[in-house]
Amino acid sequence: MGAILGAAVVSGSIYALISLGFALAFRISGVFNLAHGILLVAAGYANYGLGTLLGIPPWLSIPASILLVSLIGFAIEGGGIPLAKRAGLKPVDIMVLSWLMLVVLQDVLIIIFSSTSIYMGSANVVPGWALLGARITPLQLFTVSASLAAGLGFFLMARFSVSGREITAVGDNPLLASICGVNVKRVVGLNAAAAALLTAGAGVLFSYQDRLDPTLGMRFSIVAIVATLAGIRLGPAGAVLGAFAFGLLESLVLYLVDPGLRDTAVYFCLLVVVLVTYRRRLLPETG
Amino acid sequence: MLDFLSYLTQIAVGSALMALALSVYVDGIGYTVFHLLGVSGVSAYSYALLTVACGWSVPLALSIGILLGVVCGWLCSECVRTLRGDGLALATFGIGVGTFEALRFVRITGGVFGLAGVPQLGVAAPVPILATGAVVLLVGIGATALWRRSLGGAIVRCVQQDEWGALSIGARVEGHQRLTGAFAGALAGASGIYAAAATGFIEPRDFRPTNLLVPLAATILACGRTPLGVVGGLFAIVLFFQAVRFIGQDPTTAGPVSEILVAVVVGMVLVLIRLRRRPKFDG
Repeated sequence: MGAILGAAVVSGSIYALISLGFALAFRISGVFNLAHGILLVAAGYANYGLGTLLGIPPWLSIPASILLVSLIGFAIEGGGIPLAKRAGLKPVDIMVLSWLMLVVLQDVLIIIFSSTSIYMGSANVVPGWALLGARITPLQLFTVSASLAAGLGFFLMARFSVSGREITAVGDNPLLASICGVNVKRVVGLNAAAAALLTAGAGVLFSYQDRLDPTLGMRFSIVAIVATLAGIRLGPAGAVLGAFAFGLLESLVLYLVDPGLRDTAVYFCLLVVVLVTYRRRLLPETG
Repeated sequence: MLDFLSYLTQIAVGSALMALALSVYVDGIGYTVFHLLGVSGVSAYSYALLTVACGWSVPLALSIGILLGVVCGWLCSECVRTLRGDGLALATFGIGVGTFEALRFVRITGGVFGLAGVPQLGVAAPVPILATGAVVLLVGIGATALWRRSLGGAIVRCVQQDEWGALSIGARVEGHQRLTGAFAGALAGASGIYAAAATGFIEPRDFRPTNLLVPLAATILACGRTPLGVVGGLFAIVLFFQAVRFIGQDPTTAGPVSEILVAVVVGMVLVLIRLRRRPKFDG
């Protein structure tokens, strides 16, 4: 049982980092941006390209790759999605467009890097410390701490800071928020920038923990959606709890059922959380 | 030339049937769904297992496979009947890809190695691939055209135009949702079975989510036109893929480059269609 909990904490913390950027963007846009996952992958590959292929040192390649991918993420969340919504596109259309964008970015990565999977971590595995019957490396400990701190930070920000309340207000009703004096454009832009930076940072961090390949983008997007919807009542901070709950479920499947069913569990979780989250949605609404 | 046409039929007819199944949902009832790849996987694997492992005859296995497609399509539409829009698309995506992952894992399907020796659809004598493909395609187009002309199809289009309006004139939306699900399931099942039988081999990779790109592109590019328009669009895209492969000379980059071009064009067409259909005023 200890090993299951230990594995759940470690994988949950990675999922939390993957999900936080998505949850932050989703709070305002309300759009399931399926390109989110491929941005994580792109950040890892950008760091690999700059660091390993071009020989740029990590202190320069890491911020450069985060900045580069953040710009793409910002262009999507801060520019593309608000523009599409203003033009009258339905959320389902924007979702399909984001899937097409995922396909494009995935193929671009496949062409540039010839489908090579990458791992930026050291070949010498640090033994680490014992936690709940599992071993935890310093990098994993950093990930767990970072995800918990980010979750707590977002929760406190949403509850007690002006910016947090502005984000909540714009997410709930942008028109009413602007009537009440909130600068909606500024809030949307800042939120998109924060989400893009978080996403790109998580992608780079992930590449030091695990193998990345261009086809993982969709899986990351689905994990982020499941975690966000599971903790939707608590806002972006709820995504952290959702991610840990999801990590626990995945560890249970891995240890008690069968490792081969891990991805099946991910996708059926998506079905369940969507059914539970949207069961009271006003019907009908086609499209 | 005949060889190229046979090859084209082999790779395109399965996708064409899938595009017809998608168009029944997207152009018919107006919902975007992604579970049909999973449904086609279930039908295709049942056909392959019944013929290869159990030694059943082709017509019997074909009937059972399509029947399973109908049942799976109906069951999926039943469990997501309260969802609409992006929620429906996401939930059906979960079903479709979850099924794909399960097919990869289950031992009876041969796992990632797949199953070989799946028999052709030609009943007694070996019917040429081109003729079999043409017959299957014509049956699919005919069935979809009949569906569009039927009362059920007309009511489904009413639901697409205005669901509240359809409800107010007494249309049973959930009943038609189930009916659409079952019919689309049959077409998706036939698509999976044809693809497996035409190549004689089946593996879980045949049911990856990105395989929906071409059928979805054909459905969107057809802009709600007749089944012939959907199939014509699909063949045009498949020919485009082949042309890029021939011109590019490098098969490893030709696939991704074609996918990028198709995705960009489909995205632009989707935006243009939606902007064109925008209401002129908001009342």
